[in-house]
Amino acid sequence: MKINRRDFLKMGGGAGAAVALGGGFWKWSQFPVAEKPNAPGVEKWIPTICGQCMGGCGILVRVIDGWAVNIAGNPLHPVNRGTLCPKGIAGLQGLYDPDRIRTPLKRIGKRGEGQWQPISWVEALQMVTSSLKELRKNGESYQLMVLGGKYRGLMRSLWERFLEAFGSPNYIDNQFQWEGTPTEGLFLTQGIYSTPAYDLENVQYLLSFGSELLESYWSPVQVLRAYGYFRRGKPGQRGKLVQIEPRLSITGIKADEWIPIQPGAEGILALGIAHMIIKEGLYKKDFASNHTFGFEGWTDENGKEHLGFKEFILSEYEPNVVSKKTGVPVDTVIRLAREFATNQPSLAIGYRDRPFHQMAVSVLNGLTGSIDTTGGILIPRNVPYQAFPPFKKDTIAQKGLDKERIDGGKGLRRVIHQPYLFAQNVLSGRPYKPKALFLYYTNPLFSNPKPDLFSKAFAEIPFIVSFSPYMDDSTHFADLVLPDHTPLERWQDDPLFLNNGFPVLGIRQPVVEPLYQTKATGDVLLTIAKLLGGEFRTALPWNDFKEVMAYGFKGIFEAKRGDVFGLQFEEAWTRLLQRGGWWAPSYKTTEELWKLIQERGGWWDPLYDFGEWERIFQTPSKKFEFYAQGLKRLASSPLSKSNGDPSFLPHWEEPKKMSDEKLYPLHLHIFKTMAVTGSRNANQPWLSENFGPHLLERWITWVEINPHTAKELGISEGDWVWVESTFGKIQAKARLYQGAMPDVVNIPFGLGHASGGRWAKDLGANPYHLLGDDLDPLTGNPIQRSPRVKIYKA
Amino acid sequence: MRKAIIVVGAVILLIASLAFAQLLPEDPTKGSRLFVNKGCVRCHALKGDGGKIGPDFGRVDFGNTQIDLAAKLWNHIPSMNIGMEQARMIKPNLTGQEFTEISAYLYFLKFFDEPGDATRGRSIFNEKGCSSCHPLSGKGKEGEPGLDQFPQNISPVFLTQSIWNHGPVMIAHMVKLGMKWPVFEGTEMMDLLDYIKVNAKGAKETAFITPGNPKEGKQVFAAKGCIKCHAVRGEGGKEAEDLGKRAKTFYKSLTQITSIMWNKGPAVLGKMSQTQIGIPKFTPKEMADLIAYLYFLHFIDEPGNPVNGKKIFSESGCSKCHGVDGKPGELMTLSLSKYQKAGNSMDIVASLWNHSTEIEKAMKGKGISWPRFKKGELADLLEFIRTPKKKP
Repeated sequence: MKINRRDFLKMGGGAGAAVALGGGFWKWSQFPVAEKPNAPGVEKWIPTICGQCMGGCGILVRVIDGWAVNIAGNPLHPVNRGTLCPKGIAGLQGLYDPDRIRTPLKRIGKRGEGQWQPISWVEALQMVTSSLKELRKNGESYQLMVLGGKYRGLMRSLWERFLEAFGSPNYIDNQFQWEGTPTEGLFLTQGIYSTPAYDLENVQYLLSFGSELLESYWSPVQVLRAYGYFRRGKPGQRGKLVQIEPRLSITGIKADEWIPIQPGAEGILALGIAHMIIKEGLYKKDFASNHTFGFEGWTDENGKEHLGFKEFILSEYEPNVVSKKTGVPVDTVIRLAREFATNQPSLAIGYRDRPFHQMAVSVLNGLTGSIDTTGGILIPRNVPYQAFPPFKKDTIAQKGLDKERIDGGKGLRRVIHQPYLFAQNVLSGRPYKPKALFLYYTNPLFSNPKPDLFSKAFAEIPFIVSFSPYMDDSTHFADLVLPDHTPLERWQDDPLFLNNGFPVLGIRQPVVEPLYQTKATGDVLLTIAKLLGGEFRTALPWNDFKEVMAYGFKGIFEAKRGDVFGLQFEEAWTRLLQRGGWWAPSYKTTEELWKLIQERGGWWDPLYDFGEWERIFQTPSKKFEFYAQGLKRLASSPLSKSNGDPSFLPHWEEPKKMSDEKLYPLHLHIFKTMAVTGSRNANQPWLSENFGPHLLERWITWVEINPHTAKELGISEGDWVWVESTFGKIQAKARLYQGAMPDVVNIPFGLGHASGGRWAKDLGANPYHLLGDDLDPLTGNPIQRSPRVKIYKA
Repeated sequence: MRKAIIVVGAVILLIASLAFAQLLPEDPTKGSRLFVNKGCVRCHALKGDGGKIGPDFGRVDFGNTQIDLAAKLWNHIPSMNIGMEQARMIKPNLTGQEFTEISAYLYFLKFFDEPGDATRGRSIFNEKGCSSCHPLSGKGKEGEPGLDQFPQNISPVFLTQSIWNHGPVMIAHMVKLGMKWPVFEGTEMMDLLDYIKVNAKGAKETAFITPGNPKEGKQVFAAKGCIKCHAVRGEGGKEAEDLGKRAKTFYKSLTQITSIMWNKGPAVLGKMSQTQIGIPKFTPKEMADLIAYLYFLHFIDEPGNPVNGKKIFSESGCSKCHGVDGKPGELMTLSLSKYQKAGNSMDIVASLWNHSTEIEKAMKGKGISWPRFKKGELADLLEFIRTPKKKP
């Protein structure tokens, strides 16, 4: 065989490539290889919904010969109108993650050892079904529980229906608190425990109390588009943004004014602003007298007199008192009050902290009447799904449903779930211990303070099933894994709303055939129901989740409003019609609606109905409550220091000291960046590569320290340091940041997974390990200002 | 013999004119999809939403007959061509059917009201004496429903329908109370409706209904006996005025048409009560269709005059290229004989539109100025083009 120069060079190139791949070529071999290199493929662009965060953006996936190769924004989808954030663009990395779970797995070693045996779906379903049958046979149906994460749509209804037919009251939300906006303030003042719409496009003065508006809002693309309009969309009217927070975030940098404040003191500043608005008579008196409760003192049905908000605030929150607690000058407090009250429409948006601190921010909107008005807080109508058909519960189900939910489930707990309390109750065995736990879209071992509490609780549960497509920290402790499809492989509905309150229903449809032996959890649930037989067949009569969606969507047709997605012009046309009482949709039948929804990406109703007060105020008084009657009626135990009138009025409480301030002199402030959404996405290298763009940090966890503080501590830029609290310590890279307050250090959340595949495992650190159990009794969330740390070189 | 020829000729003309007659649209909103799909929206906006190159159609008066609307379009073709060239747009081709749908859609735009003002509505409610019978809550002296009992999500059509259906009772109560029948003008009815909406707490009715179907509205007009008193272009009773003669009056928004019906209420209801049929009741759909029919009365063209059309054909310079009386044109020979088979004048209009760039280019080349048509001229011209010609 004769080898010429060209052949020699070819061989050299091949060998070089093999060396460069470091023997890891098998890792790449799972990527598609064209049968005929360079042959043109069949191209399609398929509309679906991004699954990278809760934003609900519409995407178009470019598919060539059955392989998804690119993602672009869907210009028809009203949430993002063709634009995307870095997470959306990286979406394919979730699909092609080489460490995805490819088949059902059965644990063969000890829990947490990571020893798994791939099994067939038949065997896996057999395992689940026999375990569930056993529970029902023994009258223990209530001991099945589901921990569900943050997701939307009919899948939640399906889980609830399944548990209802099974006989368990135990669906518990373990929604990572940073994957949505804080909602407790809205719950206390308006009786609604879900995210409201903020009409950001039309607001004139935006007072943000630590809201992560421009870096990690729940719907980042939507809010960035709104921000552009807020600043430049109205000729001659540039909206003003004031950011109040301990750290100079991207939002703070972009704002007209950044007001640094002690962590957790935002609430008392809001009360100081309220004080000045009332004192100077700048509040909207019409709104206060017609639509609010508890502004003035009042007498209850037993003749007992109660303190009003006005009197309380005027006596307790003088600007000088507020200034001392917050470090914000008195003049600034007064100026902010005047600006907020006189630049209408104005809007105050809140931060994550104790409910009555959030309530302090919410009442500012009540004072200026920025509720259900253009540029204010809007309460969107729900997407009008058809209700599931009725069914008859059997005796076992009825008995099981009569049991108490493990985390309490009465009063406030019926509304506000507490996974933390669930873990504690599992350990104590009160009211009872669960025998089977299903984990769906949640990773409690990563996203809760004191993760060891959850791992101990998991150890008490005999059978744990995870439906995660990835081996996350919690799935690692499961007995059985039934891997879900990734968002690009499954059917799913995605109901949400726009900033202007318009309800939107996006549709997620498979853009590729499933890459592995995975199944959509909705389909799995329906199969299990079939295998269980009996009343399950009438309770869950559908064959697959697509049928569930088609069933639910009939309600949309019957609501006789809205239309499928279209261009902005079509939005204007639909709105013009609906304003006049007309409806002329693009479809005439439910079949046409279903077809067009798939072609265009969804349905929406571009009209907001103002003045429907029953929808806006769902409090006992059917008004905006300055005095939280709802909380008072539901709370079975004191939620703050006392149980007098001030506990039900917005007020501020100094958190209890968890550690010695001399030993732990610094406040800890945890923040989120745009790339890694809470507990998701860390398995995607493009995103870890963009973890901290403002400091050009990637793949690691850093701690932001004020340069003066760092100098005092003998820490230089780039040093590796230990950050230690009384509860634990983590290692991080020191970054000297002028935007850090001298007594506050800032650490990003998102890395530090103990599992999750090659791109996530053991990279960075989880700052939640520094948090103790000083949690809010109502929400179970960490209390701001409470955690203190010290720093020293590693 | 001569008489017979005249009669046969008249019958043929009648049949021909019936065959060519423009049909009332069934779904005037259908054109909205074409408006987007054909790219009109890239140049034209609707009340601010859409392109900025051409005029905003939400602010243009389209109160013309269908063919006059087409004439308006024809007159603007040169400037449209410039605009499209600047925007690097390819002019969309349209069929006659598509042209019909788009023109009906544009004509329909005025029908849709902007929301009223509830504050003004409150003053109107008190000034017009509505509050004498309808309290904000509870019942009135004679058992009239308070505003809180009005259905929520009420649409103007529901209001029109209930005003009509309850008209006689309302009149009787007002007579008893010695009240004058209030008259509504401008947007007063819309403001009033908004005030009612704010205070309505009754059952939630269907929020919206499909815009009326003018074709079915014509049937409602006949079935409910309106036609017995009112003729439309000569067809129908003679007791009341021919609505065809004042068709332009109905080129108004829904609530303005409702106001007209309300204002005439006592007179109309009084007369109808004396007829054998009595006062008819309407469902919301019937009312929507009827109002849409009245609205579209003006849209339908009177038959064109081919004699006048021939004159325009020559004067506008068409004959220079297309010839006339079987003779070829002076400049070129482009026969229009195929249009003698056109069932709908919109087919010819669509063809004119589709070839407008070539026509304009050829005309420029030959130094012929772009002809502009006045009201009624295009209808005559189209009638001439469509009329079968004698063979030379």
